[in-house]
Amino acid sequence: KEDRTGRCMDKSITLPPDEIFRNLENAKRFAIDIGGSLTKLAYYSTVQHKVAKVRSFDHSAKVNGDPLYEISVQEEITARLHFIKFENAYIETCLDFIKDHLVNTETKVIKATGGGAYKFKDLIEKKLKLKVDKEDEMTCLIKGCNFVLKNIPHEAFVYAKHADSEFRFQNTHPDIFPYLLINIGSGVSIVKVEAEDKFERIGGSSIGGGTFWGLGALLTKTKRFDELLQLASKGQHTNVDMLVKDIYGGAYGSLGLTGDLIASSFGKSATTDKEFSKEDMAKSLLHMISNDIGQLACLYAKLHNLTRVYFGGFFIRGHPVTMHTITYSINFFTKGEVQALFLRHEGYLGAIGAFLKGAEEDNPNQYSWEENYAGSSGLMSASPELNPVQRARSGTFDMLEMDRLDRQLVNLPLLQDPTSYIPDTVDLTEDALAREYWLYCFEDALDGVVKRAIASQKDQPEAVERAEKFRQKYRHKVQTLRHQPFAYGSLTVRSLLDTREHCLNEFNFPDPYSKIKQKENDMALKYYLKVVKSVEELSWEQRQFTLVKGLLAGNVFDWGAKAVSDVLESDPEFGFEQAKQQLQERPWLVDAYNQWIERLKGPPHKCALFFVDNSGIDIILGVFPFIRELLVRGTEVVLASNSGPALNDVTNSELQILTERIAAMDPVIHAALKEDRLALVQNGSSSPCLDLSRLDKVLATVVRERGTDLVIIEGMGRAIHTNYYAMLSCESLKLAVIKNSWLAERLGGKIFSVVFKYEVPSKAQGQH
Amino acid sequence: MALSGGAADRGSHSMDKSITLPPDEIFRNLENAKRFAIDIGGSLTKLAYYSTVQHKVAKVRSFDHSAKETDGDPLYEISVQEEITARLHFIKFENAYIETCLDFIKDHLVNTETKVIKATGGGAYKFKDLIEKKLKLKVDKEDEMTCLIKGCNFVLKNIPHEAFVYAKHADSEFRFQNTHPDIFPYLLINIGSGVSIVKVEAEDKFERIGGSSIGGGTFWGLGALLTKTKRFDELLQLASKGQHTNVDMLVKDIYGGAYGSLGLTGDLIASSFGKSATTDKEFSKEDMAKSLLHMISNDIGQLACLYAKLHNLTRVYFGGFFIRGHPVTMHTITYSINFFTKGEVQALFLRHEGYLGAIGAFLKGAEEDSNLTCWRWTVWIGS
Repeated sequence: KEDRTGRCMDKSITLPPDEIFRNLENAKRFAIDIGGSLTKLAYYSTVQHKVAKVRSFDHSAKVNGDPLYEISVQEEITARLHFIKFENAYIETCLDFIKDHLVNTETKVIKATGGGAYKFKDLIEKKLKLKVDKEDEMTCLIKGCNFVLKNIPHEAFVYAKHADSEFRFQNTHPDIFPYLLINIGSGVSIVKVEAEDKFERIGGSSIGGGTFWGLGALLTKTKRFDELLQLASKGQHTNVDMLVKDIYGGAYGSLGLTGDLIASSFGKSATTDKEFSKEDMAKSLLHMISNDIGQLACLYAKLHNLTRVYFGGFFIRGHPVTMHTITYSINFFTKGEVQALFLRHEGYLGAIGAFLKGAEEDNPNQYSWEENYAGSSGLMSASPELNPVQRARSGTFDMLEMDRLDRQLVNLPLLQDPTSYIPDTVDLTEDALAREYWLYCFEDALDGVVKRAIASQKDQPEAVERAEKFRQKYRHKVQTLRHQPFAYGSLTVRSLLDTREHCLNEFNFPDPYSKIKQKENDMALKYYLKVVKSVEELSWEQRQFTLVKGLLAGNVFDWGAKAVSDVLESDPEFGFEQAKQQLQERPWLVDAYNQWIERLKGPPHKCALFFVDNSGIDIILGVFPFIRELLVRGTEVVLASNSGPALNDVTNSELQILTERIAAMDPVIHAALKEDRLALVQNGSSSPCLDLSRLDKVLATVVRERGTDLVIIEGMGRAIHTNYYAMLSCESLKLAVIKNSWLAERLGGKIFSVVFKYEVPSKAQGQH
Repeated sequence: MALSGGAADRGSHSMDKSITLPPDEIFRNLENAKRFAIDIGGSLTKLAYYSTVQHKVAKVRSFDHSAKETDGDPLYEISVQEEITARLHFIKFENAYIETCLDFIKDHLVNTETKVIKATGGGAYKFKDLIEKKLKLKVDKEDEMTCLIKGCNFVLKNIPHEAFVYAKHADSEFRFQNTHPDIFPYLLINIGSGVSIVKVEAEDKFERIGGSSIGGGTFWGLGALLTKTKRFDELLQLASKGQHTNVDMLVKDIYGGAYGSLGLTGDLIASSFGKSATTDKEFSKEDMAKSLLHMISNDIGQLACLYAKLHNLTRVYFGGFFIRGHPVTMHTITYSINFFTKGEVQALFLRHEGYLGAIGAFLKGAEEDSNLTCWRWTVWIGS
């Protein structure tokens, strides 16, 4: 711990700068936020991705042995935001590096904010040959804060020192306003934010971080802020402070004051003639300042009727000690009514805001953005309290990268309560046992993923090297998460899966399963008519059961699950019928089949929204026969599939081709397509899981327009790891086969247990 | 008047000087005294008692008119008579003299009806045994806050010009306020070691709605650590000579001037002690004491304003040893209140603020004797 503070001003950059300042060649729109000790640089770059595209062959020319569609890898350009944080000591080195790599000559201006902006103005202008354009500090801070609150799920968290998980991440609320931002820099600013461009500094205090630092330095002769915090964390404030019990011999009951309450900060040093330890004085000072700020925050929140109160500034930034004392103080003063909220990317707010000011013509606020886990350091990677090994590795640099998404993401309109919706079923930051298992599981599966990545690009010899880099990066992420489960917000199976996808993309493995998917789709299509025909011959009751079983059996074919990928790789003939036999006999682990059948005997649904899962047998032999029955009943169907690849999940572009092919064989599907009773919509995601609060806006519109009254969610990723507890305002069907024995056991079942969850919202129940 | 007494005078030699006034000029009328009450604070003791005073009064009496014959006779007759009136006495002295004073009281206490002494203040339990031993009176502890509020209500109602506004640079430093017929509701900010913020809505209805650990004890304690000056009065002296701008970081130190868009002037303190965080130099005791005083006064001022606003109160009284007779603290508190409320709320101080606890404790005891409290008192306060 002492290490960092002792030598961080003089050590050189250990990481090669090109791993930090990534993509500088395409960089444009620079912004810089120079604080008292840290510099935050922001820029915008365009990233060339390899993406796997599928394209249908000309049907007229199609011979039977040919594959269904063609896969080609293309270059696609996406926009990315880069944010880098480093100590002011490196500013010159960093500027030099940027200058050398800045090829783009369009950039003429760098937006600057922060107290240090005018101090370094000349240096920046000289080095970069860019004109420094100063932006208002508070405006930038608020702009940045709005941006992260809107675009980063799990941005805000509650800190609980002694809880099982120190960090409790909050859901992104669709409406982030109004809120209170308490910025604790040298002093304190209390800002009320009412709308995107409407904020007011309603109060402030001169007792802030500078006071802790300044008084602390005078009292303890310790000049470094971090060291002062270290001292404080070891001290006993009761040696210096006068407590209620020191005056009254105990509690002052009639006033509701407990004996341990601080009656007077530093009260004992007024009358006691002794030496006080540095630690004790630092602790007393920390309490004094935190309590004072806490009380002011509460009073302003009450006065302005605000319940969301975020804390930021260098006093808070990544310091568990100050987060704890502020949280304690807020709890004390509001009796738990208001929670102190902190932000993962708090240190970047000014830089983000300054960047956004400069990028207004690119309309960054009209897009949705996504944190790129591959290119971002986790929370508090710069904190001296945590993981010194990792700190040494990453130097004093901290990074955040955000990818611009092609489409705007919104809530599913059918969520019962969007504000309380939590996609993930298990929070691995809280559940240590589950965390241990899943981290092990993902690490264990890494070899297989690497192997498959290489296999997907056999024609490219450097793929082996790239795959190795992927392995290192992902393993490092997993190791980081083992030490800091909260690094990227709540740790969940979804975030582990998403991180893996991000890392694969990072090393240009856009779709390692593309060929496997192709092969499986081809194979499954051959059986389609046969399956449909055999189903049609059954009685109504039998048919419904067979269709549901087919849906479940199809879901066994999931390369994402290790147990299955083992079987599939060793025995490619593992067929559809065999899968059905693997399934658990009824009664299933969760079995609402009877209610579902009763419902089907009633009037048809108006429109069913189906979140599909895997390609191949799952979509073709499981989902299509099932929705075919719905269509025949008179229910419209919307198939929602991933916008981008993830594992062997069927993507929207693949599904387009498959549907065309099925329509060519099956007049029912053909008619439904033609009459627009069957629609294919992308969900806006490239994840094997499903976040119903971040879906393509078009999907939301379709859902609303068609009067959707049934939502079907299929697969472990979408219906078990996420959304298992999601409450919808219409009927829903969540079904999956548990292809993981650990998870099955946890749910009280065995491997290949079946979850068939049919739910009707209580309000709608009376209508049927 | 007590307030004009120089703080330095009092401060520098009060611990070692003997009582120079003959005690019988201070503890007047002890022979008739009854109903004692004592308020022992961190450094000062306040004693209250009730006595009956024999006055000589001039009485006029008409002559018998029927007998009136000669023009030269006076219209009426003047005679001097003895009359007995009730009087309350309040005496304040430093805790160091408590034993001497108790001895004197014991020697002169003739009235044997008195069995009990009401006591309040943080020191009450510390000196309980001493008092019981010396005076042979049972110490009956009263709640400190209740006494304070009772005393405050009493002086606000009974003493005209009790409350005043402090204006350092005005023609008259003290602007006394008229007594309002209805004194409620009001806010009392008691700045002792810590701060208590009490909302008083009626004679017997009050609530401690807030408080802070940053109070007089913090000024004293931190001041002692920073300046090695151990006495409160001396710290205030230092503060009155210092320049806080040498230690505090001002808005202009960060932004080169005002931060106009946020409405912050350049001279505003952005960060108390902010300069000592990064500057590697020695700071003068005076400057540090001044910075500390500003920090604490501003903080209390802001809290007071916020609580006043939140509870819709406009009358805000300040008391406690941090304020007590110190022009320096009254000035900084007044300044702070003006700043935070933009003049909407005035900081009010009380002439007899130091006696509130003792008065309240006395009244608690007198309540048992219902006829005392309904009187209109002309208060005599010796010091």
